[in-house]
Amino acid sequence: MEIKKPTKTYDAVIVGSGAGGGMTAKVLAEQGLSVAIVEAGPFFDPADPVTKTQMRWPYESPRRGAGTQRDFGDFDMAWGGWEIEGEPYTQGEGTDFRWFRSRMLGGRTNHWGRISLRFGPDDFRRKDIDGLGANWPISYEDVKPYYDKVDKLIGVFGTNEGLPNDPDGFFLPPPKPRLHEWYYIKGARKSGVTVIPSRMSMLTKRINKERGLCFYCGQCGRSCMVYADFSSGSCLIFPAQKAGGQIDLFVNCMARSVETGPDGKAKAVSYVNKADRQEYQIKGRVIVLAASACSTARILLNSKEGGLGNGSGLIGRYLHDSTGSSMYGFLPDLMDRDRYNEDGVGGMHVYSPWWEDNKKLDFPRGYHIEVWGGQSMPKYGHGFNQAEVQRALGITPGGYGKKYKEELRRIYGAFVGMSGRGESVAQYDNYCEIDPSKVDEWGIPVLRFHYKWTDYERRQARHMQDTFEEILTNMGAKILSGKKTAANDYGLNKPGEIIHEVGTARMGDDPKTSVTNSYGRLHEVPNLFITDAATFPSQADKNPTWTIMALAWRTSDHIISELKKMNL
Amino acid sequence: MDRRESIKSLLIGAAATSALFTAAGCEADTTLAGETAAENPFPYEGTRIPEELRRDARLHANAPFFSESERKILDRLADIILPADEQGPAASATGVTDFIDFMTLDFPDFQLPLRGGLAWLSRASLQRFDQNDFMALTEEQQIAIIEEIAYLPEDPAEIPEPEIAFFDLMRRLVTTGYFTSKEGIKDLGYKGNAPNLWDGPPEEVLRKHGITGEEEWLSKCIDQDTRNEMAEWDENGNLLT
Repeated sequence: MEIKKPTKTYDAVIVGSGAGGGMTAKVLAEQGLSVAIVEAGPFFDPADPVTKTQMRWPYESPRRGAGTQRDFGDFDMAWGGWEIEGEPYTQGEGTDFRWFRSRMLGGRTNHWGRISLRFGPDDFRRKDIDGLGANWPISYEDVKPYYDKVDKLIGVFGTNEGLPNDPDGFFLPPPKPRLHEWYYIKGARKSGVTVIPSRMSMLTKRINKERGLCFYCGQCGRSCMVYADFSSGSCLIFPAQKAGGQIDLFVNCMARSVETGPDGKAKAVSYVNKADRQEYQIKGRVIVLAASACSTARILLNSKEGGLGNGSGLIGRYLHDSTGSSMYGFLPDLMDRDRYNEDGVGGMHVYSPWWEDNKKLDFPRGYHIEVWGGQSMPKYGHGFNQAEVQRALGITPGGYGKKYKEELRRIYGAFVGMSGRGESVAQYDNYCEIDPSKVDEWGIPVLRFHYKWTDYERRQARHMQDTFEEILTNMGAKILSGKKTAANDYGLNKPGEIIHEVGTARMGDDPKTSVTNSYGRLHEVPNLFITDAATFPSQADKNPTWTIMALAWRTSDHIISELKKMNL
Repeated sequence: MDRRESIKSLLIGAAATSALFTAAGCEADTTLAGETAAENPFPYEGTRIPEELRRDARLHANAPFFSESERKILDRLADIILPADEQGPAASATGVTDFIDFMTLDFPDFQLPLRGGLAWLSRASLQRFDQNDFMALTEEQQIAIIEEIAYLPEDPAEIPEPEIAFFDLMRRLVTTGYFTSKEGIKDLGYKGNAPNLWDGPPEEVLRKHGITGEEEWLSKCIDQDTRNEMAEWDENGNLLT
């Protein structure tokens, strides 16, 4: 294998090729800057028929798509997972944080749920509202023009609803609801829970001549071969290269640290090329970290004793993930369903944004509800819950033979579930740091996590369980997953499991209480920027990707402007 | 809805619905969308990263896990669990035993319960019918033994006996193996994994389920006839095309 060696000094060296890195590379390259992307995994193009998993059948896999090898199953487009051979992480006392990494060009944008939500005005000033955590140094109005541009560039379906904290945008029309989603709509309305069409980044309508339109296979998690869904490669990096942008890809290159010169400025990124296991440096006038919140913190902490740009001591601190809690049931009304193709887009066609006022509740932050179910493609695990269905229907659980086979046909497509995805409160004591006793196979010191949920999150999860039970019951469903109680933290997912980790280098105006300014520029290193979710002072009850891209665009504009002013 | 009412209906619900399974059969039309399409010319191996290929190679090097005589019993159990009927073949004809053999290597926690269960079958065969080979029994004798282990406790919290847990694991693996096979997917009637234009459930389905009066919602959704028109908005985000 030929080893690509960096020979020149780039205008910008970007670590990471996901939502933040891809957007930064695109905007900078379009302005004529020479850009290098350092990516820890190999090249990936969703259109490559060799690696493509889209449209494959379960029987093409010897494990029928089970998650024994890839966490979300054999066909999920994430080369990596919670555990990566040779790249461990460790846990502090009492912590079980789960760190998901995709080692591939485009990172986790290749498999994500494409739920594309803007943060609302309140999400930038939570401390003003409930006194907890920190406000952002910017407001919704600062970010809105960039959200608008992201909507138009990437394409997102949804509807303008005029909701106060779930802003309108430039939407493509959404797909019609599936049958179980109609049941959900009715059940949610009965409980006074807002329900609206989903907001997701698949092309239901043309936005340019380059990308294909959604053909409704429901497999966005496998990354779309016609580029009808958003991924960083297909929508940002490849188009920028095609338009003549100078973007050099350094793939299979694991970033270790940022090197600084005597003037205190960042001058290079050190990395290990995984192909020859040798150390290299790549020089840039501007360095951008977009490696994901935890990887970015790791690089900064490994760059210098005590961490580069860490006068605040906050790098790694305030790590927080979205909360999650789920419930699912069986809808007798959907037994003996007519069979038809209802794959739709990958994921839900309807959802519930947060509808309550936290001032009237015993927890400070909200959540949204995601809905799932229907006649989906059978995969490993199909039929595993038959005993629960039988119990719910008063049939002796178990059995065999023609009667059992017929039962399985009759209940196909009659399941429905819902998952809450909520905002947690960022805590100083939830953090990642360098474990001084351990390195990965590239010789890079690894992260150690410290993370515990608080009663804020537990009470929010209790509210989720109560709400899901009520809506499922309104729908006429039999709850199969049981109702989670205090004994199991109301079904709260482990931290990291929702894969929305943010906050490890939060932005702010005061260098004593934040790591970067509102442009993601490190207070202490003037030409070092962060364009991933490390800078988020608070997660909203929204998925972070749309905000990562809007802020990355804003930061990139700022970099261009500062370069023109000779300020970098 | 009142919370107490919600909980009450949960508690009394189960028994009242058992009659549902006595209602008549399934859809006859099980044509599989995309069935006539050519097989994917790019093998599964191309979708694996090097670490996965190495792991798969290690697993395959240890295969088969089960002996020929054990596999015959697995085939037989598969067909007791999901026999051939008018709508689909017997499970053993759809590759479930190969699938189960692979899974015991892929997920070693399956090994002891499955091996232990097969040993239990031999002992039960000997004790009941003076013949330690389950396969040498008559069909009636085999079923008599399976009847002893085919049902789970009514209370899901109750831990079943190992032989019952064994048969439950077999039932799960056979069920998944069958319904993820080409023949099983056709039997189930799954229609997807094929390019299409989703335009909501069929009219008659909506009518049957009482979904009416939703014109306002539907008016916001994509009109598939306009999907190829380039999207344009006014400055307030109203779609113009």
